[in-house]
Amino acid sequence: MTGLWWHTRAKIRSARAYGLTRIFKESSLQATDLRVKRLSDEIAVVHAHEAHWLGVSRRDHHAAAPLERAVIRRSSDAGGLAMRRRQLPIELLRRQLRDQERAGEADQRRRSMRAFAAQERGPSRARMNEFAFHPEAEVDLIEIWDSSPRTASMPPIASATTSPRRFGGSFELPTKVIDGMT
Amino acid sequence: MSETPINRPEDVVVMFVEAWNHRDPDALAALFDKDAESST
Repeated sequence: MTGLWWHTRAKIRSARAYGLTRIFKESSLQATDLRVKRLSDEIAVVHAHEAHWLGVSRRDHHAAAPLERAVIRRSSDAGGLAMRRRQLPIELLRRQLRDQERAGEADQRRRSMRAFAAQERGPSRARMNEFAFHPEAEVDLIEIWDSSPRTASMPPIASATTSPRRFGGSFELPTKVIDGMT
Repeated sequence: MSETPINRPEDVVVMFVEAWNHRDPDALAALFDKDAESST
């Protein structure tokens, strides 16, 4: 996690094109433990662990699996559903939350979480929209994550050696749907 | 851009992984809204 933010689809494409050809050209990606939380008829949050980044920049690198969060909304522009994606230091927030509760400071949790979140490099409050969560909402989403049972581990979804397939196919995954989107 | 509508939120994540492993930045970008934000 570098803390870099890209804005607009075009800039995301440009940054990813560079990364895929220069930095991560030998890596493969897996997503595990998918969980879906429906926030409204139009918006859902998907949690997943992304794991096994191999061969990053000539190093045989196996990174820990960070927790990713993708905010998905219905969009007529992008094939039915589209992503607004954020990557958050969820594990750090969870660890701090547990440390505080263990120390009997649960009543100060939200205030300290706000301070912690303010140190992160992310959108300013003025630039927040409905897809960028308020720090207190982040705490709530962590609790959602903690309260939902984990699914069994799953094999890689895809690898660089699989044959290319255009999008639009069906996927049957051991996904945990907390509040399913119909 | 997707050829058929994406109906399940989790499919977007699955497609992101597929696009990544196929080194396809166009497919990756197509999964985002025009004014999306992404961090790394």
